[in-house]
Amino acid sequence: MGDARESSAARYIPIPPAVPTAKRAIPERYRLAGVLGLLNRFAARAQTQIAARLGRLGVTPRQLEEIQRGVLWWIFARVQALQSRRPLLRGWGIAWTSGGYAELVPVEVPRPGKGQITVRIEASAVSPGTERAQYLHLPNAAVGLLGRPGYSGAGRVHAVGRGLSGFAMGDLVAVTGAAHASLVTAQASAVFRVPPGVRAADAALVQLGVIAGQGARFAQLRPGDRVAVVGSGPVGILALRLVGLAGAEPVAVISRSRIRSGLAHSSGAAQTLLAEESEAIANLRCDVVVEATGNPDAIGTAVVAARVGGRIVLLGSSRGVSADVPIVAMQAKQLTLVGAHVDSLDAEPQRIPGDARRREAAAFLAALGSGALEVADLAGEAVDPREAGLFYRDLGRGDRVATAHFDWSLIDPREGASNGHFLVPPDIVGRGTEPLGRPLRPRAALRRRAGLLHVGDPFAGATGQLRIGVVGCGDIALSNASAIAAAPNATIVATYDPVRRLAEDLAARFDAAVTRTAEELLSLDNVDAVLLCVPHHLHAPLAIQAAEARKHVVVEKPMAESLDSAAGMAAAADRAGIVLSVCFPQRFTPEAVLARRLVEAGALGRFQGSSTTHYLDKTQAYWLGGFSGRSRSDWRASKERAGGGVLIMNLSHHIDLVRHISGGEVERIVAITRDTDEPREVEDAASVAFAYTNGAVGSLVAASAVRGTTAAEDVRLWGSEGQLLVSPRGRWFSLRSLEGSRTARWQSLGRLPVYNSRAVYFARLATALTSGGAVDVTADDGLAVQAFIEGAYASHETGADARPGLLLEQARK
Amino acid sequence: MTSQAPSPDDLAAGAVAYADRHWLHGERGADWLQVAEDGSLAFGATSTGPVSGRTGDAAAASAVLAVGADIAGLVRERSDERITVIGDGVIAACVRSDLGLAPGSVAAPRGLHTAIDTTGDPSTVAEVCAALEPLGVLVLAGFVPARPFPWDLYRHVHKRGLRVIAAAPILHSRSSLDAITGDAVARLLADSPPLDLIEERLTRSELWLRRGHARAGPLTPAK
Repeated sequence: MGDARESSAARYIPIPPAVPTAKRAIPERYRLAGVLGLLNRFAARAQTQIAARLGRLGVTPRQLEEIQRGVLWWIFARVQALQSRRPLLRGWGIAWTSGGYAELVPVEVPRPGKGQITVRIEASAVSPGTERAQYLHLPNAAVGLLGRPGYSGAGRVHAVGRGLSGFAMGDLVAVTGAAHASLVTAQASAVFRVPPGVRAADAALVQLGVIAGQGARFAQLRPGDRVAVVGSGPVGILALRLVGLAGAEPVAVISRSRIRSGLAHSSGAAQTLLAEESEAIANLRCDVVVEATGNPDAIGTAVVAARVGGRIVLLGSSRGVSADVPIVAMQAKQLTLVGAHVDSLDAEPQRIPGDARRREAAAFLAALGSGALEVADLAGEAVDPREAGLFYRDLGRGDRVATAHFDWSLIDPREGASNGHFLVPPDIVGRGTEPLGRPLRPRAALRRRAGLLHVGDPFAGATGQLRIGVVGCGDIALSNASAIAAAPNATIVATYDPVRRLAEDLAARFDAAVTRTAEELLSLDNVDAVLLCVPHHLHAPLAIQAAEARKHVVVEKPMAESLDSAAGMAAAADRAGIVLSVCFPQRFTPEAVLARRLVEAGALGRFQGSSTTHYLDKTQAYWLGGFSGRSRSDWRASKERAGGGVLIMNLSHHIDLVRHISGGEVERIVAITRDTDEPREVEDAASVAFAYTNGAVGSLVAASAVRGTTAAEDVRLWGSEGQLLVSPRGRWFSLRSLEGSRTARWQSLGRLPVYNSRAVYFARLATALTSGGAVDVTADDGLAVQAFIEGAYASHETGADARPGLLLEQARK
Repeated sequence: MTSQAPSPDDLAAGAVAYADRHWLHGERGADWLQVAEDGSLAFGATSTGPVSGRTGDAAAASAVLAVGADIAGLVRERSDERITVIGDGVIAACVRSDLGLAPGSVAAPRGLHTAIDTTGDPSTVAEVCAALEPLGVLVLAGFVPARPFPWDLYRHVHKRGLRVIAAAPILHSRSSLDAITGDAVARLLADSPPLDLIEERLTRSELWLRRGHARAGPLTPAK
């Protein structure tokens, strides 16, 4: 038996005669392999060394990859320019940069040399099957060294090279083999005039037309031949329409789903069959079956659909090895399998290289021009090239994209084609590739007045004059008083503190009166609102007292030492008809303002999660008098008086901030808290995991005994389409182009104004209270934060998860 | 490896079974050509009565010559191109003979336009595809094994524009059989007579095999 098997093709196929060598101790191939192995080992070692050294300089692997790509493109463009002796033009193109990212990046092309044409692309066609395979790195779908996808496009002639006639500036032309870019320079043999009346988006399908046309021709159709197509992508549908034009009868489209059955129907196919409908497929008995799926196992379906003596045209580039080609069935049906890859066009005998492609392209465009062929549905939806990353992610998910093209008219004309500079060095920074690296600067349009990232004067529109009485004149009162003084429409009129020295000091600094008791302050007619800057456990009684005195209440965070107390405060405010607001000034930092605006504009897509870390080092002095020591008291170390440690004392800001920016409400919390440093009643470390009502996840880790830190933090939010780093150094990353912004790169928020965010809080509060408008931070906001904190503590106590919504409901009863 | 070669008990009285040497590979083996005592033929789905009174080896030789002629007919219009026939069984020999290719001849040193595979072996088929010129033709005329037939259609067929004709090595028509002359039969039997499969071993010299009243048992390769 082994003898029968040993006959291999090699015995019947010409093999070049072996070159005699004097020394045959080591076969040639092994020696070559040895040399290559050494070279590879050397290259790998050098690469490791370079990466390690650059790593020490802070260059990440992704940045390195980006730099390599940038340099490669830079060299490539200049080599082309030198070859054609023409200067460079600059435009934008889509690139698959690294790690599954697709983005719009600057590209350079030379002005047209002899026999070349530069085209300002208006639309570039997407071939969903092939580009999905390339994007997913499926087998048999390699993308070129430059990582530039694309099939063909159509646009206006931008410049014509020497020795060419018949093309004028502004002519609408189609270009085969064009990458997805705003600007391409191509040989004239790849450029075709588009007949009048044909849209650029339709003409952009020219390369798919060449492929499909070639398939139809290779099928050697006879009038009346029954044709089925396996696969409902643009190439398959286009092939079906072309066979119809050739006089054959399109009978069916066989597909994995019916998502494109409309396309099949409009192509004249009587029916759309699902691949699993094998009996119906077998009954088709087609003369010709066009396999256009790219699925290596779809050949089996094609064999079933063909009649005895029929032909199967392979038009789709299958992504991998067909595991089991049904040869026996093919032999039984005496089928002929025809490979019809577009590259085989070049193998046909022809007078001039490229003739066959030109013939197919011209035929396709002529059919469009005459109206015999309709492809508007295949051109599909117009995609903003800036959102290529988003598009390819959708494409990669499967059946979510039927047909599409990139619409380059959305790019600013001045940027779509501008003069390049030969001597400009390549970007060797990898700008925008890493969250903590150098971000891109935002586009000027975003920062201009009314632009998305324009902060403007935070005090603009401040009206009225709010008179505030301060109760409690310790550490935080001083900060708040300074902020009130900085607000154009608020002023401190009275102060009170059991330690009279503190009240007098504050009053002297801000020209206010000093009262002997809280009741006296609350009785003053010139006090519109009371600001409570007292230990947490005093928030509730004083707030209720102030409400009963018909004074608006502003309470320093947190709202209270417990959820019950906070609920009591809110109820008292409701009863009295006064406003209760919690001072959460971090909402008004420029980073937070822009972050919320970006989220509202869709930068994150669907909100999916948040993460907050906050570390600081509270010394012994802190526990006896706060950070400044202005007011000596040990209430901060008392669970009863403070309500807790780092979580309630410090993180209440962040809990509110994330809630404010994301708009997400927390549904479930699991937490562990610890007093790790010294035995106290309150925690100095907390780890909280939680779930939002929309399914997003969150985490919060805080510690106040981390040596060597003053206030180190990281607050970030992410969603289906982007990520926001609110702190430190606000920056954002989005796949969605907002007001023409770049995508898939970390971008800074721009140069941010410097102002006192507490002052903004008080100015806006004053405007609202004096004009009868709504305040930014309501009692409900304070309660939500309080419920979160209460939930975290409850979870730690019980070891089970807690539901803030339920806790709040119970507290309100 | 075992063959599905028919045992004598499976054959009708006086019947003899014949096989190309390549039909023995694989777990399934192939349907053997069976010649009844009166010269009637049963091959694949086709059965036919005696041809010109030929019986035994002569009838079998007529059948394999007819199969070879049918396969050669698929590419005869391309006979001015560079053609090679892959395999060293009797079907390959008949096809070569029909196309006027010398026994064991290989294609011209440059380029290969058409190949006829009679082995049915997936790896051999892949090698042949790689050797064919773009737009070339490959005829699959071997019995393939029952196990899966993996094939990189993109690389081997699609990208290179090949045309693959699937043609089982079976009798497709009586007319082919009738066209086989006695001289051709005599030449084949003189040059390459079928050898009895009695030792359960194959040697390099056997183009085809015969099993009549021979011992049944597993086939093992010759060392």
